[in-house]
Amino acid sequence: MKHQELLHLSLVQARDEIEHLTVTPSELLDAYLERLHEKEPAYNAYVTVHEEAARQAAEGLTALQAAGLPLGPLHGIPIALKDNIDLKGFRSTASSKIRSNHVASRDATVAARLKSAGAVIIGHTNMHEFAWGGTTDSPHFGASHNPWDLERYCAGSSGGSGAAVAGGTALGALGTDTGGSVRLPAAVNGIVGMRPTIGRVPNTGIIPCGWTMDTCGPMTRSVRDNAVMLGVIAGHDFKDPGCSEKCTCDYTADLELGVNHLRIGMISQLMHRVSQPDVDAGVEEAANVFRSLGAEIVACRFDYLDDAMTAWLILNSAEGSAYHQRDIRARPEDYGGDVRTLLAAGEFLPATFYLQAMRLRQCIIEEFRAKFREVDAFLFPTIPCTALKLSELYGASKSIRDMDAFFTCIASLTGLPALNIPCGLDHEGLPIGMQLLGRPFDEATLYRIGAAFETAFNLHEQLPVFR
Amino acid sequence: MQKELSVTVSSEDLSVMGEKLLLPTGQVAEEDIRAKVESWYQQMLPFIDRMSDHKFDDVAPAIVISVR
Repeated sequence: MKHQELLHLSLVQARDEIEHLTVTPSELLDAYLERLHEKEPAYNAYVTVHEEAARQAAEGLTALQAAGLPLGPLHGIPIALKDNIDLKGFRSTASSKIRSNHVASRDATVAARLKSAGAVIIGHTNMHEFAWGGTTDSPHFGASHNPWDLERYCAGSSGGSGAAVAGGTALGALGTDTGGSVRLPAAVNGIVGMRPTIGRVPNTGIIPCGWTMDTCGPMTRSVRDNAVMLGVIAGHDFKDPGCSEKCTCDYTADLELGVNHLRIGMISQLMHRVSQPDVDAGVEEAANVFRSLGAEIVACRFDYLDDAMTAWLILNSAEGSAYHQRDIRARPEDYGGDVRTLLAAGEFLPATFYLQAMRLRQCIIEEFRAKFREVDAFLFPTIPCTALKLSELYGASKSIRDMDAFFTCIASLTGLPALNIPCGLDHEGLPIGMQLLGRPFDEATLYRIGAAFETAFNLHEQLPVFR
Repeated sequence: MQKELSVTVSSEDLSVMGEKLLLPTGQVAEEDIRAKVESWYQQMLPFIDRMSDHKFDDVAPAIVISVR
């Protein structure tokens, strides 16, 4: 197969081609590395590319296959890791100067699971410094650029992972999500991003941002690819005390079931408040699609969501400043300006603020627990805007950027799973993201709903990798 | 070294005493940090006021995340 044809295969298709010996892991990797060499100067999606190690891994996987050993679900698939995920023997800096010389002595559990499943780790992707921000405009490694329009941002904090997947320099990627850092870049890059239930995926070997909300999740071009990746990284890890012992499942099992008779809640107070009109219109059109597919759309109202973003800000600020307390006091000049300010300011939040935020968090959890007796999932925007211009991030666009976590902080506070699905294009041809929020540990229903939507609308062949 | 902060936390009389806003290291906070703290307090104090309403008296903090 030609390199361009290989780049157009989904993760699942590529894995099938490898199994049927029509392509080898090395050939697939060659296609991605060629694309990476061509596009990376423009995207700046990576902090470090592990080209030599990836080639060795691909050759080893080819040999394993020739020896007749069983293939893992990601056999030969080029996957990128966000730069805050440890990979033994390689640098993971969290796009920071503070950790610029950190070389991991062991794999993060998610990295180990990817490798065991046959993935080829192609590199570490750029991110907002220490995941404390949503622009992926790094003072240390530069800004990542959106493959849909290179003058625009990738959001963040997992912006490099979003750019790599949308631009075709990785077939899948891992991000981490504390306030929206998987879902926001997934939305503006037109791809699928899952924030799993808190505790579903282990955080061992991942640099913390906000302990009580940190979650690692997959970023892919399609729902099915995403479900396969979650199946690989999910599950208990005794090294992470926050990791759940609940059994995992085959997240692809329900993808064909459709949405007939499912009840999808729309939260009225989240619409037409902070979003660009195109975003609200895109999500409302998605609701119409779900109706046409047989789902019931249920209007809902919540009492405590108006303060959700303030509560999230308090929690993330306090937790982040606690984690960085030694370094922000000893070497503040080594942080980028925005993160240094946030971490220093976080020292001024009283413990009572933190506890009041935790009390509101409990109220919101209880509200969702009650509402989930009436609906199977909730639908609302992922991010109030489409991809903003990099040149306007600190000027004209600042007011809407300050609200970027308005929708995503809800899953972060409650610990519930949430999935970004591309649901349309704005008047400039940029992707719009919608978010599906589900019951605890019910990622499978979110994938089911997302897969049904993909039968009516998807961006697969409009992604920049196809250009 | 931890020094007492001179930050007024009344929403009726919001003020962050710039020259007295000390970092935990004892240094005076720079302008960008003072501005961030001030803007945060403007956003957070009304929320704190709402959460101290007696209607929340029975709500304990979500110390352990319920869904885990």
